[in-house]
Amino acid sequence: MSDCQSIDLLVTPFIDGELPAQDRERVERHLRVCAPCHSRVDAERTVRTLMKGRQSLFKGESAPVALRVKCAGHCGMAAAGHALKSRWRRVMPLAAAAVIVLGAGGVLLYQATSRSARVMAAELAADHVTCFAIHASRIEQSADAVEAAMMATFGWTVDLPEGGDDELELIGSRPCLYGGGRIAHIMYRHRGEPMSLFMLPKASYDREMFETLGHECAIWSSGDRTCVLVSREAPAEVARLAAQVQPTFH
Amino acid sequence: MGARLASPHGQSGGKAAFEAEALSSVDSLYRTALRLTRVPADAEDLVQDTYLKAFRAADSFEPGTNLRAWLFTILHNTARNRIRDRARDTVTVDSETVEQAAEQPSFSNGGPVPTPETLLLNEALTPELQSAVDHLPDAFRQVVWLRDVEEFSYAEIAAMLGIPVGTVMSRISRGRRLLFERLKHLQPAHV
Repeated sequence: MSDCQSIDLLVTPFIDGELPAQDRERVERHLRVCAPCHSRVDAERTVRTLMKGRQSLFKGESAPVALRVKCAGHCGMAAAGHALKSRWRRVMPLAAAAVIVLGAGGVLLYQATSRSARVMAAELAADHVTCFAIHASRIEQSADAVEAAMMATFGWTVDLPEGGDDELELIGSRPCLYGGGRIAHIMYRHRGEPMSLFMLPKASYDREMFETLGHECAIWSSGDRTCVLVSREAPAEVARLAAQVQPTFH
Repeated sequence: MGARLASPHGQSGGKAAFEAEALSSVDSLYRTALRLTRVPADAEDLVQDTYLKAFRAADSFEPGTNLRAWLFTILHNTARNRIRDRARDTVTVDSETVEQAAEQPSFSNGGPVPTPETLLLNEALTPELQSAVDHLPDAFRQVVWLRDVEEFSYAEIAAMLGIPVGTVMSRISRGRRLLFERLKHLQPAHV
């Protein structure tokens, strides 16, 4: 094997900085005296530098939101076995229901200020009805899966603690269609009745509660986030749940 | 590079961390799947399948190893199986011919080679580079992508593709040289 041929095998790890010192020196010695090999190394190194310099271009492609949600929906498979059934229908508390930390990243696209509270509440109530009609029977997420979905879809670290109100059952989470998928929608059943907790990355609404589309909507802000609770239950009960659900934002 | 995780087993916090960490790779898996399938709908299917298998096989993940590399291995295995199932041979098609073509020493004639700087300064290269990468034969595009964009080690790439480390290196080399051949005409003359 000629010097050039034997060097050729080392060129790529040499360029990538993966060669042991001894081999590296051997390549360097050869390159000093062999113009063809030197120019070949330059060519490969040029492309490597170019590719790395354009990484952000290639990495600009993100997975569609729908795909993120579907993938997050596969969570819980790791728990296969006898514990599966009990994990699916884990009873969730509403007390301190969500500790939300907004992660870095430009997800604050939703402009809450552009809509009135009543328009927003009506759309969320419609979304609440739609989601329960279409998805509630198919979604069976564990609290862990909801947390993972919040992270994957919104970049939020959401902590759903255990223990508490036995009457509240977690169903799962979805990115709400309203607001371009930038609103977290956590679906519950309270005493068997559908109940939704929506979380918006903006605080532009006063605390209020009113009826819209046959649902009671409680709106409040905490930190720089807005929460909306939607349920068909009586106003007093919705007010009680809203007071109970107060998430802590960091 | 990839996060080193605790075991996915045991307490639920560990499993949630495992799943959250796995889901954080969805963008890079999707990008890579797009390079494999070239069709967005197929890429989405492939990524979904990958997560389904990964979560089902969470017990076989070896704690302390690179979770992202593990997911990429599942992605590539799934892609290979699909190709086999469909009796297609897109991965290795004409790679021998291309490997021979890549051996043509047109770049080693001692002529001037543009420095990386002159290439990098040329913003017009961006669409050309994307197109050149997309037009590389599969065998070379995969390794160059996994190395230079996703930044995996030779050993990790070898495991993903089921080929020897030496083959990984030679394909990276040839893939980069092919890219250079496709791009060098864009260089400003006589630099």
